[in-house]
Amino acid sequence: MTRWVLLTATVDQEQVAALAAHPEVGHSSAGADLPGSVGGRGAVWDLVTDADPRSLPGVPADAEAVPLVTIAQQDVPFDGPRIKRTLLLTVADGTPDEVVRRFEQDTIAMPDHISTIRSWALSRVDTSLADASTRRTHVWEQEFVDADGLNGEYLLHPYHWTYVDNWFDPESPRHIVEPAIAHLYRAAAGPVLLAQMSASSTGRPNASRP
Amino acid sequence: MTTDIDRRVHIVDHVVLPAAEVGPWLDRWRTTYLPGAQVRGMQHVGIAQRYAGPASVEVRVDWEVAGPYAFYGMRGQAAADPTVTRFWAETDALATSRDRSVSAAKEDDA
Repeated sequence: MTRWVLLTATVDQEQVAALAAHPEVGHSSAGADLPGSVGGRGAVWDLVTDADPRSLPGVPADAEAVPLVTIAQQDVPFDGPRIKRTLLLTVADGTPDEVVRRFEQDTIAMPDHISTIRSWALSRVDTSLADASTRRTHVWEQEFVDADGLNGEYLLHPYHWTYVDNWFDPESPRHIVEPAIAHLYRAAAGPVLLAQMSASSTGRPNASRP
Repeated sequence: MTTDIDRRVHIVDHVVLPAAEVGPWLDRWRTTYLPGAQVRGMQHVGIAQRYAGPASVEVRVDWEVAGPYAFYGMRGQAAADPTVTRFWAETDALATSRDRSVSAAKEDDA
């Protein structure tokens, strides 16, 4: 099955839970964007299904549905609630493939430096399933024990802002990521990425890296 | 390196220009880039120059920003400012090379 990230204005948790039991759905969880999120619509719905998500009951027809092909991921199991963070970004048209691959390698090295990242996944947008209008190219997801892990060590680590950020900084001649990113995080009652990978045919073995 | 909320951020711009363009470029930098950069939280530390070839000069501009959060805020404001985009596009049309490096202050200098 395909993993999807849906951006919606709101989510009804009863509908989210009902969809988890739908025969065409492998995983369904969602939550409102927490303060500090930017570029979203109000909520993120994480879904695993081979159906068009917007054809499923309870999913808003105007949701932005982003299909994922995971290229690297690692599962770090832990119990209990957590923060699920989703970064949707667009690499500029015309960026050479070798440069895109370097950007991807630098990104997936972040968990080697930043101890608060637990499970994570880097995905390319599945252009065979995505809406023609979507310009997003990559989705970078992580789970943290709490928001401090994201807003603290993740943002403050020098590997992030002295190195990886060059790909994003519009004043750097090395930047390739367009400014219109969506940095979204929500509360989750339990595992999202691990549950999704288990339910998805695109899931890879633990600690998969290209 | 460890993380530190108060760790000062050092930014260095390197711009290699034809020698005859350095003066006009610095004039534009002072009038169209510097004032906005200071509003965004970039503290100008200094400018240095060196010959990068028989007819080219590298201009080095040093900055400091108060910390990583201030850096992200500055970067976000720059991304939303079309005058910044235009300034660097015009610079890149002239420059033979350009780079921006961002470094963390040593822990005991933070």
